[in-house]
This record gives sequence, C-alpha cells and structure tokens, in this order.
Amino acid sequence: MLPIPNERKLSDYISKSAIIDNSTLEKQIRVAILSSFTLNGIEETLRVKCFELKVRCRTYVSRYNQYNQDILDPKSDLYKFLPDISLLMIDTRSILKNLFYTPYSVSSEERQKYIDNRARELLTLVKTFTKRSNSKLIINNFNIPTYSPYGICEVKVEYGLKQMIEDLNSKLKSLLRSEPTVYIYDFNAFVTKYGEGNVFDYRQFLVGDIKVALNYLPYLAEDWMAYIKPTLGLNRKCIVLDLDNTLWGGIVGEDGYEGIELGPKAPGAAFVEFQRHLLSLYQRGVVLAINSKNNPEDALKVIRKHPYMVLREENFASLRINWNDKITNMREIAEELNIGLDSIVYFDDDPVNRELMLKIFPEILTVDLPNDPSLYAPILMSLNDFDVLKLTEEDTKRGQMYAQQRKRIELEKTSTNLDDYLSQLGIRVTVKKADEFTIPRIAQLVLKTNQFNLTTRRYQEEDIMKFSKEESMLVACAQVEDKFGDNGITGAYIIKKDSPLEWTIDTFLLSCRVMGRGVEEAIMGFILKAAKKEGVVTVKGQYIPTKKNKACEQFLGNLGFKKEGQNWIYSLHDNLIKIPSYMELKSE
Amino acid sequence: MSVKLYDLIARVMQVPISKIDDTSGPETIERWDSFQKLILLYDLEAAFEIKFTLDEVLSINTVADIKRNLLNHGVLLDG
Repeated sequence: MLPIPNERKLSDYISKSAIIDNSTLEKQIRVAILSSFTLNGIEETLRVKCFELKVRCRTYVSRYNQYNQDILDPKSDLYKFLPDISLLMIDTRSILKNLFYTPYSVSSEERQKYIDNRARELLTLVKTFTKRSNSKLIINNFNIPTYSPYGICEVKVEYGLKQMIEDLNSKLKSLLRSEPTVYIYDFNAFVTKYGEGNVFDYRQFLVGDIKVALNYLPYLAEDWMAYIKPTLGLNRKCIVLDLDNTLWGGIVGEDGYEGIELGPKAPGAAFVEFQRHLLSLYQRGVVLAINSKNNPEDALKVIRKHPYMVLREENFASLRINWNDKITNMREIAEELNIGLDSIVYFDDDPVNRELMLKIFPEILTVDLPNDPSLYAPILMSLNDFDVLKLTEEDTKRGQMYAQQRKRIELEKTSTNLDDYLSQLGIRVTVKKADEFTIPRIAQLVLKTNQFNLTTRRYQEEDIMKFSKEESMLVACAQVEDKFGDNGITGAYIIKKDSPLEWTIDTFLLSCRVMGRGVEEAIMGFILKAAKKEGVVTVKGQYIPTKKNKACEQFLGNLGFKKEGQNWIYSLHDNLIKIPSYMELKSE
Repeated sequence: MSVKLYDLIARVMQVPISKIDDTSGPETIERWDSFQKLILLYDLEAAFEIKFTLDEVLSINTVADIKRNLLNHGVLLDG
C-alpha cells in the first residue's frame, strides 16, 4: 500500500495544468528543473500542486541531459530565468556510466578514484551554480542499486558497486553540508519507499529514457513540494487532535477509562504508534492541541493517568475538551496560541467533523483519515507540511515555549492590571545583529509573520544575508526573555540608511507570541536611539495594510510618528524616545 | 468497454470523444506525441489491469492498434 492516499495520476495533472489559470495568484515561485533524463510531466504536476496552494508556479526545464551546459554557461537560459528553486536530478546510471554495468572491470583503487572524481565534479558544478544564482539548489543523492553482478558476494568485495554509491552519497553530504543554499534530496529514500521495481520501469526507460516511472512522478513532485512550501512560508506548525478514535480507540464517555483501546496489543497499539510519532514531531517543535467533544474529567483522566498514554497534558499547548462545537473550539485554539488557521493541521476520525472544518476553515489542512487506525501513523509521516529549510533553535523549543505561554496566561489572569502583569513578567529584550546564527531565524520571521508586520515584505534567507553585508543597511533581531523562560528571537527589523540624515524602516516585525507586552516599543526605541547617535534627523516608517496586519495599524502613530502621504515620519529633534520602564533592554 | 477506452483517450489527449475513431493517432490528434502515448498506455494498463510488452508499446500508433492489442490481452471491447 502506498503511504500517501489519493495521489492522482500523472495524466490528471497534465490535463488539469492545461485548464488552470494561475495568472492572478499573488504568491509566485520560479522553479528550474535540470535533469540527466526525461522528466516530462513533472512541471505540469508542480504547477497544479502549487495552484492548489494558491501559488503561481513558473517553470524552466533544461533540455534533455543539458544540465551541465546550462550550469556552466553563464549566459544560459537557466540564469536568465532567475529561479527561486532549482532541482537538479541526476541518476545513478548517468553518474557511473559503464561502471554501472561492469564495476569489476577495474580495480577497487580505480573505483575509488572514479567516485572521488565524480564527487569533486559535482561539487564544482554546485559551486558554479551557487556563485551565479541566488536560487536554492536541490540536488538528489543516488539510489543504491539492489543488483550486483557479484550477487551474494557483493558484501565481500572491497569497495564494491553498492559501496561506491554509498560513498558518493556520503561524500556529497559532507561536501555540501556547509553550503547554505544547497539541499540534498534523498532520492535513495524515495526509491526505498516506493520500491525499485515500481519507480524504475524498463519499458519506459528503454523507450524514452524515463528513469522515474510516469506513475511515480506525482510522488516525486510531492516530495519536492517539501522545499517549495517553506520557501514561500507555507509550512504549518500546529496539529490539532480529536481524542475518541483518534488518540485512542473507542469513546471514553461510553466505554470508560478501562474500556478504551490503547496499549501494547492491536488495535490499541495503532494509537500508541500514532502518539509516538506525534511526540517525535512535538520534540522537533510542532505544537500540539486538543479539540474534543467530551466530558473534560473523563478525557483528562486518560491523558493524566492512563499507563499507555504517550502524550501527556504538558505536551499540549491548548486543551479544548468540552461540549462546544468544534468550530468555536478551533477558533479559540488559534486565538489562544496566536497562530493563523493556515498553520494548523487537523486530525479527526469523524468525517462529518472533517467536512464541517473543511467548509468553514478551508485554510486548515484537514487530514482525510481512513477508517483504519493502523494508517494514522504512516499518514502523519507522509505529511511534508511541517518541513522547514533550517531547523532553528526556536523551532525545536517551540513546544516548551507554548507550555511557558500557558503559565504567562495564568499570571495575567491573577494580575490586577496590565502594568502589574508586565512588571511581574520581568521582560528582557536583547537586540542582536544579523549574523550566520540569527539570519535563518530572521528569514523565517520575515517569511511567516503576518499580524505585527508593518510592511510584510517577504525576503529569502539569501536576500537577508546580502542586506546584512551592505553598509547602507542595518539588519537585526531581538531575543525576548522573561521569568518564565526564553521566547527566542521573536522580533526583527531591516533599516535602509538613505543618507546620513535619514533612515527608512524597510521591515519591522514581531512574532505574535510576544505582542502587546511593550517589546515592540522597546525595539523601536532602540532603533530611534541608534539613529540619533549616528546624527540622523528623520526616521521614515511605512504601514502597508494587508488582510492580517491590523494589529500594528496604530503603532507608528502612537509612538509619535507623523503621517506624511504614504509615509510616517519621526523627527528626532522634536521627540523624546521612550522605552517602557518595566523592561530591560540591551544589545549585543 | 469502448466507452471506457474512448473516455480515457479523450481525457489524456484532451479531445472530444466524437473526434476519436479507429484511425485516430498522432496524425489526427494534436497532443498525441510519443510522451502522451506512453501516459495513455500507462492509464490503459491501470484501467484494464494488463501490462503491454515492449513490442506492443512500440507498435501502437493508432486507436485501432490499441484495440487490437487490448484484445490480445483478453480485453473485450464492444462496438
């Protein structure tokens, strides 16, 4: 059985791509496809998959086996196309040439030398590309053939056929690890997942040099979407779960604490397995929440006490266990966690609930769960929506941070007023310059922040890297801590120094996680003080309204910026810069 | 079964069913190139649960060829 249900046929994608109109879509991505073999049909599939995410995908496909020329020629159409993402696909046969068939016609030393040379050539090719293009480059590793002419003795041969490929893969990995814009696509895992006999069809190979069978191209395209989604900030960060028949089998309100299915034996083991994979996602930073119609006492007893429950109360950032409708609960979860509905993935066994959720909140990814809990874990693992291009410290600590957030909310409830609450929090803000450690996180914030974002300008990590090196620009971020813990880097700004007397705030944003605690005033105060110190007279800000950034509409006005046409102007002569008194502000 | 066959051809080649007859092929259908033919054959294999041989894949050029080869695999078409 294939792990992704409902993947369509290649012909469906090709037919659909001919009739879709993506010209009006706001989000765009330019994808270049470079390959050593025929990949016809993949661009149509990517276009449709992007269209379904409301993204206009423009494609460039290099001519048959012309990837080398395209990369080496600085004037090639590839570079003129200005791709955002480039996918370079080279197959094992092309890299090994005759040695694929007759590896043992040469000595093991020669085989090693051959692989060393291929690895070096690939590295040169990759470096040539990254020097000439700002595009991300995704290069595949090589699938290890299952066949060897030595058969069962293959394992006894020194540096045999399989070891050649393994070595090439590991060399690629270590050579490219430090290239910030290069990613290795694990094609060998793709072949393992779907089977060599399925992915490689001899008839298609012999007739048209097709080395990924046509019926598997949609699966390959889906794997590539894992790179496209985070490039556009379309990755998701929260899983909302139902309880009965989703986290355990049966209905706790009817079957009772002892009657539910959850334990080492099937079918209860299916739910344990699902929960274990959820826990692993939690540990890597995916936020978990519950949306369940249940008696809270019944459900909480299971969550707190059941011996085979893997996920416990502290793993959930929000628990909505009540008799309210699921739509209201979902809206409240999004509000409580301060995340967009488009960041949520929803698991519920009940098709009626799923249909309702799809209808009311189409932006939520409602997973089409089959009526078979043994498939819950593989379906969860097949989702590529949680992928990020770089795992930052903030990502891995997110679950913990949301648990701290629950404690902050409790303090807020017991405080008599806002000032009292804020001063008790003991907020510390540290402004940090953009560097190799902070830039991945700044890029993440720039791509994803919607609510407190004055201009919503989206830049890729490579752009931010470039800005940070320019003398006429200032890129920085802010780490926010308080007595409950570290919120991580949750604010960022980009300043353009137009002249010695004037600065423009190109980008100013704050993660919704720390909004409304004076952090935004403190960071802006820091910028204004820095401007004054350098003798700047005016600082120019902008508020570009979007559907989502109403939260910062009044921000510049409240701080003393005066509206002049499209801009907000702050005169450093006339104004005193204020920083909230309850806050500790420093810079590194 | 002819209906199913014609439906498939119409969908893959993006032509109305009324435009398809035994002589249809690369000469009469614009999208019918060697690549779209492979896609069509794959869809036919999935729909009729058969597998064409390499010779069959190479020799099929028209709808009449498809019908003949389907028959070789025991697929009975009416009309």
